[in-house]
Amino acid sequence: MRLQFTENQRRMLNRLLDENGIAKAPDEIRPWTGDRSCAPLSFGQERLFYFDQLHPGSAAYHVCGALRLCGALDTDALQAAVHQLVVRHEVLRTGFTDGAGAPHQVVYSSEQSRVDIHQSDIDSDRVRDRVAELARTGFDLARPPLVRAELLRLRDSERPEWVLVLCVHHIVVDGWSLGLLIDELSETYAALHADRPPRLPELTVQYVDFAVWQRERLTEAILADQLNFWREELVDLPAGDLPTDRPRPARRSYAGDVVPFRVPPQVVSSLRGVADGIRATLFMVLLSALSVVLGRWANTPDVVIGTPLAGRQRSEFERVAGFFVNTIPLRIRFDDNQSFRELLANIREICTRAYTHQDVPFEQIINELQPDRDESGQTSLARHWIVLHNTQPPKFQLPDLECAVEPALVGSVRCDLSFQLVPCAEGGLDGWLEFSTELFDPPTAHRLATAFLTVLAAVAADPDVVVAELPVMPAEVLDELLRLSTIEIPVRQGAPDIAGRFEAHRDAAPDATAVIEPSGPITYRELEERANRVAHLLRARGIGVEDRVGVCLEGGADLAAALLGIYKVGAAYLPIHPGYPQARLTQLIAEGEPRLVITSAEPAGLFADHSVAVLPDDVEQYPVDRPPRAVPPVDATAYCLFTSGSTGRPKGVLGTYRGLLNRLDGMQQEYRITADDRVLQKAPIGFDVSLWEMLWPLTQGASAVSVRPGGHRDPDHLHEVVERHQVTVCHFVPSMWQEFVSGPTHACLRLLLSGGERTTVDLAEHILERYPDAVLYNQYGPTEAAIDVTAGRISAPSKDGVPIGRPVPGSRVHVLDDRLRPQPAGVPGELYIGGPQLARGYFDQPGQTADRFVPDPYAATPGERLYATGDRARLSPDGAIEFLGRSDSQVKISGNRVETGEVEAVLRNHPDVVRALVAVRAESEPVRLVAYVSGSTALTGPGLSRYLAERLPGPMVPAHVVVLDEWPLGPHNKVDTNALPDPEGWRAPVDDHVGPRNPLEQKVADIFSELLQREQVDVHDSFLELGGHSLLAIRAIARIRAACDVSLRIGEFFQAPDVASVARLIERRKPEPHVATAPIPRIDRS
Amino acid sequence: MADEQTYHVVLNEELQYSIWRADLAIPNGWRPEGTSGTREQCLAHIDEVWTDMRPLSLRRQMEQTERA
Repeated sequence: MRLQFTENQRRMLNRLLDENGIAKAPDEIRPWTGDRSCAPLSFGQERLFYFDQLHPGSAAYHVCGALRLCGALDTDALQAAVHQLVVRHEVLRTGFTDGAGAPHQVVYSSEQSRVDIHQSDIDSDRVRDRVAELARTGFDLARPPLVRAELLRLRDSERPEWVLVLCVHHIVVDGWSLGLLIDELSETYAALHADRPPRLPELTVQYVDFAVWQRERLTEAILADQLNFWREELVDLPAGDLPTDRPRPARRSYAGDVVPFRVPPQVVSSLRGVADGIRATLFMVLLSALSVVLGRWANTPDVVIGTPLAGRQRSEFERVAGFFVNTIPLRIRFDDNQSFRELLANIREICTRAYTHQDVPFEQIINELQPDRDESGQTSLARHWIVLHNTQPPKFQLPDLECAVEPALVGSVRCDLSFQLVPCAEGGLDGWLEFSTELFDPPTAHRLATAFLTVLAAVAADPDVVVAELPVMPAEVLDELLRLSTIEIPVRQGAPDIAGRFEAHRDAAPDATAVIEPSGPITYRELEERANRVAHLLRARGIGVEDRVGVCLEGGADLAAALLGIYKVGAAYLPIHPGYPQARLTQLIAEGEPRLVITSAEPAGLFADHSVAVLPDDVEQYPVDRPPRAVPPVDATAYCLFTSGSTGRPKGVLGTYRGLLNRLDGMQQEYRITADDRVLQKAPIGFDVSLWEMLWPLTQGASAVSVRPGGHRDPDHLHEVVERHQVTVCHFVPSMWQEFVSGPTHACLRLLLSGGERTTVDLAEHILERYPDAVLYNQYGPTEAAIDVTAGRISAPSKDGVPIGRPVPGSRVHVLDDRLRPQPAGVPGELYIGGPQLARGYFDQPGQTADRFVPDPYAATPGERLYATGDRARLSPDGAIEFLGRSDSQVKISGNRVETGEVEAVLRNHPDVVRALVAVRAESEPVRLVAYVSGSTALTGPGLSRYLAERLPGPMVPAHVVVLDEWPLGPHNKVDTNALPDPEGWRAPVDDHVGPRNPLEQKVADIFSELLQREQVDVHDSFLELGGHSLLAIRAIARIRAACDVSLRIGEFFQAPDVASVARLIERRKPEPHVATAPIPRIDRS
Repeated sequence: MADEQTYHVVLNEELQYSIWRADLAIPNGWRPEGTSGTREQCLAHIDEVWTDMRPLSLRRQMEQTERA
């Protein structure tokens, strides 16, 4: 469809091609003399026929259009005209059956296969629904006509008005044919109306003649040669899949919708200029631009875009209705650093090569190259299409009638995204993006269309722009994204330092309760006296700003006193958990280099070689009065928290006073606590949450309620403490929430915080259900920024997951690509953090710091830094951030990009599953997914595998599902992923061949080996892995039906695709037990 | 690709060091230090030269406090 020739030009071209031996066809195509009631199918028809076998009556390949007619309609003439078309075009009266072994087409007479226009009266507002209904109604391919026509008379219209709806199966038409048929319908109607013969050229050949000619011409050798070309062209396909709004369903409904767009005339004219400059076509420019967009979205400069070719290279077929069109998958690899013009030149070569190999049916390319299609028959080879229709839609003109083509009423799509463009009258291009509504929401489709237009506009302005620098978002969208990523600095809450804020509350209400320990309450006055003693001790030792002070205490008032004492002298708090193993303690002391370690009697012995102060003995000598002090510099270190480093050396993150204050102000601004609140202080020191659990209440005049040592992982103790002391605010990691929310509820709790790991939808729903009157927030923040950098209230979690919210006050959170550009909403990128809460870096590790804390291109003040989290996330259009896991949680399995979080989400939807985690086992080859779940006792690994297989595409289904009774927990109560058990039989050798073990397995194995052309088939080998594909599967099912009298559904077959499983399926299906043992003769259909 | 990428060692007014891809424009407030190379080379260089990791303004504030 890309090039338009006149009939003469085409004849000439054909002759030239023939003379040069390029077209290996006889000079002229003649009608086939064979039996037209048993004719072969063309390759394309065969593809659609098999698709229909997989999805009987599917509307995916319906072609539907509607015409609005106003005026004096001659319905008899219209009916007669339609009938004449059926007489004229054999294909409109052809049916398809699966006869002896191979499908064939049957041409019926025009009387046997009449198209009667069904007439009905209807209200205007019902037209759309009626058209959709007609478009959805399936055809039986064996029963022609595969054309449905309905004439709707609008009964509420003032003047005579009709809508003519035509719905045709793609197996008998293509886009070209439709234009042709509409054209001929106009002419025939006009002729009948004027009582003259229609002026239509005589048809010398029909579609059957094409099918026969195609099969004769495309010999094995030619096909093999073309397939070789495609094999090389499509070698090592990228995993690159566009991020979708929803996981790809295991079974597709092919529901779709359309977003219109328009390329302005001046842009089109510049683009034509760019194309002409290097002998390319407008189509190639559009294709180049689309590949840039898809490459950016999928984060890979390597994409495959399908495009249909008219398939009517021979002039004889120009006036023949039928399914000629063929799709070719254009593989486009580009270098980000080349200019657009270079990309275009490259694409010109790609297209030219592809056009000369366009005969091989698309289906054969898929079968040859991608046998690992999933059960719905989807292939990743043709997910995105572009079509440039080279002519305007045909004008439908009937005498005495105003005619208008109704806007496209697409209810279904055959691929994920299809960019369609057609020239419009003013010289621009009218476009519409058809998209799968199973995968994408309309705003996403709109963003993609806008990205396409943005690239086109940028290229029109400067075709030499470097591809990587092409914008995919208009400037205003980019500004909006940057605006969304920043929240204003919170209002200062009181004194400019933490100690000062505490002191202000102590002075205002000295007898208020500061800390409630299991042993009893401590007032603000008492607490400050203890803190002052610590401060005096530190001063006496000459400890001040930037000096680290180790604190090895469990919690409670001692910890509060130590922390406040440290902050009174402006020093840095270095928490060391007393429960750590000796080796870890030694390492932290060596790495953190504290000047002094404050501890209590028991762990004191652990620090033999270090300067130690034991509470309370070593501070008793110091006075309780407030020591003189100055406000510490805001950039001074407030705390040093260790995180594990990839090198094995722990990294000490230096948090600043500025960051800590900013977060405390932000929490107060958003959540607001008063002197009446009681905050649970349970997090072990070393976990950044423990900082605010203590400091937030103490800087607001509220009380911190501490738990007994180790109490943070004892739900019974937590329940008791919360109830006894009427706690109002608490934070847990999701693992603990899971436990906690299953126990008794507490009316006193009003603010619930969750964070530290992913909060699931189920958990959020459960918490809200148990605490309908409380407020629940989800929070996120790496240690490298003060505690939390995003937070979001959860009120009604959607099924799609719980976002981590929006940036907290003062923080900036960006989702960026590898050039640090904002990703469009919905497109995953790496999460970067900026703003006052940023840590200074890693203590004494300049290289590591420089690696992760990078220059900030979006800072309001120059010279600021961003922390690269290594976490993947994407922005939803409202600015909420969706956490997608660590960058390394994304894996490529069988060439498909898999996000483990998606698999987890599906597992959690299982009614019996309470928790689920999907781990990537990269040490195995190929990489495998292992799912770990816990929940009701009814759960079994195989049962869950089946559950997943029914819901997810093959590559996303974990190789193993392990049911756990208990989760291994790390020190902070998070799941310790390294301690998860290996699945049973993990390393079992799989190379032991297991041949068929009974007659039934033997039968199935015979069928498999014959179809797959293998000498022996192991009973555990997957049909798909051995090279089976959907067509072969259909044949296998047919053979099984013949041999065993059992009909398997294609879906069942794909879910149990090895000999053993198929044999079991057959066994289960046998209607009568005695049949199973009766020998059934195998029918040889070869 | 990332391994072949060339980076510049850059630093800001606070004398904090970082690295930046050589093919991208250096953000405001940062200047090249003079060293370029692979990521590893640049980070190794920073390990050598960034000896006082306190921001410059903090160093000055601390010096003033000491003098006072």
